[in-house]
Amino acid sequence: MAGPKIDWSKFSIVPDYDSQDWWEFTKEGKLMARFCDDCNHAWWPPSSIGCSSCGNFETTTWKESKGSGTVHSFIVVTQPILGAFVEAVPYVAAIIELDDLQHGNGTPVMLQGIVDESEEQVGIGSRLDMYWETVSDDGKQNPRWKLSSNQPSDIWLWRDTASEG
Amino acid sequence: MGVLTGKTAIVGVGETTYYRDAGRTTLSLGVEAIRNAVKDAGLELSDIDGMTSYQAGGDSHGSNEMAQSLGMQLNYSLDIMGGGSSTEALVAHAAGLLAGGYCNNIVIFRSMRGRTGKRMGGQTPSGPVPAVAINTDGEALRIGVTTPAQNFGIAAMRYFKEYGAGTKQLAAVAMTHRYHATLNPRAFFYKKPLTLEDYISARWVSKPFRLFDCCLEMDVACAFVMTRKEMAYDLKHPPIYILGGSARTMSESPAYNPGRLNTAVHHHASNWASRRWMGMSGVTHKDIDTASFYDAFTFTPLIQMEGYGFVDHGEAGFWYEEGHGRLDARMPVNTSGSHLSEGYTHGIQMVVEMARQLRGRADCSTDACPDWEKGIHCFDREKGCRQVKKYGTQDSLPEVGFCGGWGSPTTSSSLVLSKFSSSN
Repeated sequence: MAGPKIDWSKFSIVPDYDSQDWWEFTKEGKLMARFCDDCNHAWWPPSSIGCSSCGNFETTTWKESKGSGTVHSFIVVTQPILGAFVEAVPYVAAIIELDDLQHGNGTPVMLQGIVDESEEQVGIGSRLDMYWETVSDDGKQNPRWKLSSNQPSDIWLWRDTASEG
Repeated sequence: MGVLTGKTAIVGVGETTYYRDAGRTTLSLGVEAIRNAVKDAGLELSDIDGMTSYQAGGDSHGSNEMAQSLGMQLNYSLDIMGGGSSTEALVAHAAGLLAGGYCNNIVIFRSMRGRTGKRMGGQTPSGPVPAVAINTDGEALRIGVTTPAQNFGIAAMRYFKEYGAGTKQLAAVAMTHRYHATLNPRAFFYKKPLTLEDYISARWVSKPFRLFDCCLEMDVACAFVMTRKEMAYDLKHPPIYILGGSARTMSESPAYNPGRLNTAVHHHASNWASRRWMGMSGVTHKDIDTASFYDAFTFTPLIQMEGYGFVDHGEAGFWYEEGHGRLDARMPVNTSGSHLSEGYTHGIQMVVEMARQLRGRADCSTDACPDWEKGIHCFDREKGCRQVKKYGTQDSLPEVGFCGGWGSPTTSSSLVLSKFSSSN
């Protein structure tokens, strides 16, 4: 594992009614989101309650993402709050716009993910690829992200303007 | 204007000391704050027949326990869940209760051990949380992002990218609120100014936020008393009237969760109340003499000022940098030092402070203004006077104040207070 080390022994994964299907898909290496059959709004995070856009409570379809996207925003986690991340800091935690899944209104579905590379290399607009990390004995997997080989030229890297005078 | 504009007023305010470690229960703290507020109103404890409060996840004693400890028999009591944005929403609630005759004098309080009790975001005093159950998809847990500082940092970073602001402007917010705390004898940072060098040299909490971008968690209780207009005239202090506002307005998407947002991650619920507060209160931005914005972080006042329409999107940080929020400038903001420099109260102290300022009775140091309790101020900042004056005047007192409160990007409240019961 190249990226920040997450200690999964500090987590116990007990999926609930709403999220159990999503976790089952990860065992097959499928990054899935559930969509409303009526308006195509994504139910993300996984939910069984109903479509938050049109109110359809009945029919949905799971769709798979190929696992590539763009950084929408991010922070640099410098102090661990959870024990699982004690050895991971500092690391980039990002909001990622998926390339191939959109809500009915065209807005990209956004996920949260840790990026392997450091803040010197990652910014808003960075292109990312997903890979899987096995996190439990029964084969559940967690999506991880790393910089794609091809990057756009206009990535916004953050600058600490207060210290620049 | 709303049908209740000017019908009710804040008549008493009080709090405890702001403690790093009070060594006391929230019951003990709350009782003291309520006693102080009732005394400030010139009322007896037995006059109070309504009480309401807010708490986060069972972190406080409730109204019934407070009332029993104070020997009160209430006609109305209710405790709600929530942090920021609760105070202003409870004021709206109390205005309706008073007007409807459910009670005659109501106390609103918040008592918390924000430092030594339950901390926000799952932090524990002993360090990282050893083990956590993921019983949903656990998206935020799986990336270790659980605290407000982290979540608002994500919103801030995108905001920086879109508008060109940055930590330089956050530092201006920290230094402005701190300047006001240096004049406030109650503030944790009384007489302790913050320089840019101090700001830069402090540790990172999570980038882009440093230590002084984050509020000061404290053990503290605050309270205030509201009553109907016709009962407010003859009390100890000038009444401060409730003109209107907005109460826990929601944004169209749930908090923090970018997967559900249709708009930018920094687009805050105040954008959905940008005109409502004016319609309710009958005043506009130009009428506001002084304001406060919920400063859990240096970043949060920026998006509230913009959402409520005081400045355009992206401009608030530069507005601070140009000094418009300091005492004696166009619109002094967070004049007690509030969450960043007085101490964190989940918003209630900003209403307490606004009532004091609009009365003309900001509690300055007695060295500066020995007769501040009579409303006599020297307005000399070097000496330590912290009373707001109307912009561009020598010594005219402010008339209308705005309090922006919020809990998360999803929920936002506002409150317009005035020394006059009508906006005309």
